[in-house]
Amino acid sequence: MLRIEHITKRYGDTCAVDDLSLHIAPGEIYGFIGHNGAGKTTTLKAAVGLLTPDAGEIFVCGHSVKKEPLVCRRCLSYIPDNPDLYEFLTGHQYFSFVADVYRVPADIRKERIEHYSRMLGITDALSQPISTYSHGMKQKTAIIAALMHDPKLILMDEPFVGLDPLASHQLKTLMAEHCRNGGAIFFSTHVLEVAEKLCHKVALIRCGKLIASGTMEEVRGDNSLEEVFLELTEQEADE
Amino acid sequence: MKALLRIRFLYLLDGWRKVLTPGSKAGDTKGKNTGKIIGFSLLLLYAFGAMLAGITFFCVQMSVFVEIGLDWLYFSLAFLAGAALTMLGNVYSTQNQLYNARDNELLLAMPVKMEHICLSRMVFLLLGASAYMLAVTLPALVVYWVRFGMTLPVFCGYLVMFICMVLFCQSISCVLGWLLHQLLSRIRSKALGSLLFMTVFMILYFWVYAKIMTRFEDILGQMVQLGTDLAALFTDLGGFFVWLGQGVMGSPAALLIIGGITIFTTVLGYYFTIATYRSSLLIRKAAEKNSRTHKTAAVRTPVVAVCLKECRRFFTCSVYLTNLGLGVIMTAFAGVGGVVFRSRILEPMHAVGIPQEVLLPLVFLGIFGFIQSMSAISAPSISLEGKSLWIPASLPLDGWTILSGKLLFHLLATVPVSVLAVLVLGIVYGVSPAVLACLLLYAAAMPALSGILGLRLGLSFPRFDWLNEVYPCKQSMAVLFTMLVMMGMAFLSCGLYLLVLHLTGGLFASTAVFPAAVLAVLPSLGLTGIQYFRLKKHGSPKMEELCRSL
Repeated sequence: MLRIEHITKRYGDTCAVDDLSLHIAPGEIYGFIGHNGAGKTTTLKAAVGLLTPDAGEIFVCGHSVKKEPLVCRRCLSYIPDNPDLYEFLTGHQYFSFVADVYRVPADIRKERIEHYSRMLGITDALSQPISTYSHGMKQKTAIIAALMHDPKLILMDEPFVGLDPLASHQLKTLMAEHCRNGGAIFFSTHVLEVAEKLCHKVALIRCGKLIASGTMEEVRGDNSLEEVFLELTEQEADE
Repeated sequence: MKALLRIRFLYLLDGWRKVLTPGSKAGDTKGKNTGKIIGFSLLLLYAFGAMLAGITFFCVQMSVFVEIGLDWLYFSLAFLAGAALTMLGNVYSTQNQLYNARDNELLLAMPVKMEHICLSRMVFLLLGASAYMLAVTLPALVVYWVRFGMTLPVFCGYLVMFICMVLFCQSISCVLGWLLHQLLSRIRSKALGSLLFMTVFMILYFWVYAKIMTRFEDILGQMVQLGTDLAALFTDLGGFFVWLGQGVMGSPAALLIIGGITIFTTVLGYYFTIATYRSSLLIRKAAEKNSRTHKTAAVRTPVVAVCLKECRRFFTCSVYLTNLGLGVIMTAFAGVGGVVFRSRILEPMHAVGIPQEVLLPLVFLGIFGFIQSMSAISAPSISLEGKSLWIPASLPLDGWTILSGKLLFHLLATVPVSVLAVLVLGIVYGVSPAVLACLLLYAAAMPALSGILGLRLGLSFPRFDWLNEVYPCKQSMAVLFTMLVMMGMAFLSCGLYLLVLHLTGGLFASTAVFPAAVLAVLPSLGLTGIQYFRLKKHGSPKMEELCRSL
């Protein structure tokens, strides 16, 4: 579903991502874990095509993000860490805009808006301008918009930030449901407990370099993910 | 406080750096950047110089009052004009930078006194007010100095009055800015509020302008009488207007009184501003219940979806609507006004002696060409994407679809009004069908050119890190350049029309109105076509490059 092959991205002298390779298969929830500035957001943005890597290639559903960006974007959805939405639109108008772009039929979009907004508890706010929404409501709006065209792959940057416990639980349910239906999710997080419970596979990144990846069992062994993460990052720092 | 002032100064400095070196990249050579700075500085100097020349012209006319011994009236009028300009220019800035600033919450979350945040904003608003006041009163002082000499009391009086009036005007601007903020926060449909505001403003503007212009010759011929009448009126109205001028002339009593009034209003304005600033930030109204029901939208094409999104942005952003919708409103006004005042407009045309069929196309080319320079709706639309650029960038939209949607909205907002106005006026004024067809092409081509050019320049000079919409809508190079090029095109069209008439028998006996109209329209049509293909060829990859630079 998502194949990242040896990507490198530099910002001036700083190497944000260094020769990173990953493979996310259909039906997988893949957690991407790392400290602040480790290169998680850069990798996710490169996968969407929001920035071009200096080296390497990324494939979404078998299509190159570099060569066929629009085909790739039709297959995926992206939720950034801080969703700056169109504040002058109402929630309904924003969903209509996104649905129009993906050409989602009227009856299906109506059904999805109703279903997901009820599930995440923002039905009453959809007629209000997005400028009046709280951070959590904006996050929920971005999640619903991302699910509007039933994408095969969802890329999320810190999706649980700002969500209330109920919405957080609902999002986890949605993520699991999406993967059961054959979709894939690649998301970054700092919350190791969430990753531990939710993910089939995880990748640990430090200073742009992949330090561990694989199934949850492979990565953590008998320890907790937190212990493994701390141990690995300390080892890397010593080296 | 020092840190707040520093950060504000750095933000303004950064804004000016980006205005002076738009589109500069890290890899640009020093020479290239210096060239850009010099080029844009010259452009800004030209615009500023043109404004100063106009003000100086009026000051020279007003100096007649000094000749008849009404020195105080001369300075009173200069400071009143300065106060009007300051308040007109600073009310929106006050509302935006004080009550509507996006970093208000960020600063409030820090251990900073609210008074200090407010004061740090006020310092730069006062600098802005000083610039406005200086733009009018300095030419007045220079004209006075050159024509009548300068004395120390007058110079000192001017300085004191200048400081007093800046403080006084800023205090009033704070009250008006707060009222504007209250008004805008209460109006559900910002579009309706802004349109009403614009319409009232335009009616008042045209009424005053028409009054002045119809009596301009009389006014110039009767300046002495006018001065005497104004002096009597000001004396009847009360002290403030007289003290204002007398203060500049060095009258200690007037200086004391105006100084007292200023201190009083400034102290009052300060406490009012602090109180309203606090309440506007801390006392939030609960989000009003919106009873609007959302209809199940029909499925639209991506281009129409982008167009609709642009439309909603335009009609919900008062800064965008009032600054760049001006041309559309003026086009409508020109159409309606031309029909209503047909006989009054034709009267001076007949007096000139040039045949109506010769003069009318020139008037149409000039008026509708210049008005289009005020409709650069598409020019700020790229920069207005701001931090939301990730949305179109992450959706399956290619660069051309995004640009087409933006262009479509520009065309829908401008072309129908322009074509309809020219069509109605052409019929009402009896323009021949062949010439009218040319003018209709011109009325469609000019707004189209403005839209295409606006997008091309928007792509060349993007800026996404603005704090409020004032920068992309009012101060961006894309808007400024689009306006200048459109003015140039209007000049060119009029010039070509006159040239053909001149070569074929002159204005009074020309038989070549149609060929002249054809030639006048050709540059705008040609440039529109060229720019369209260039936008299609280079704009799409440029837009995609911008999306990839997140």
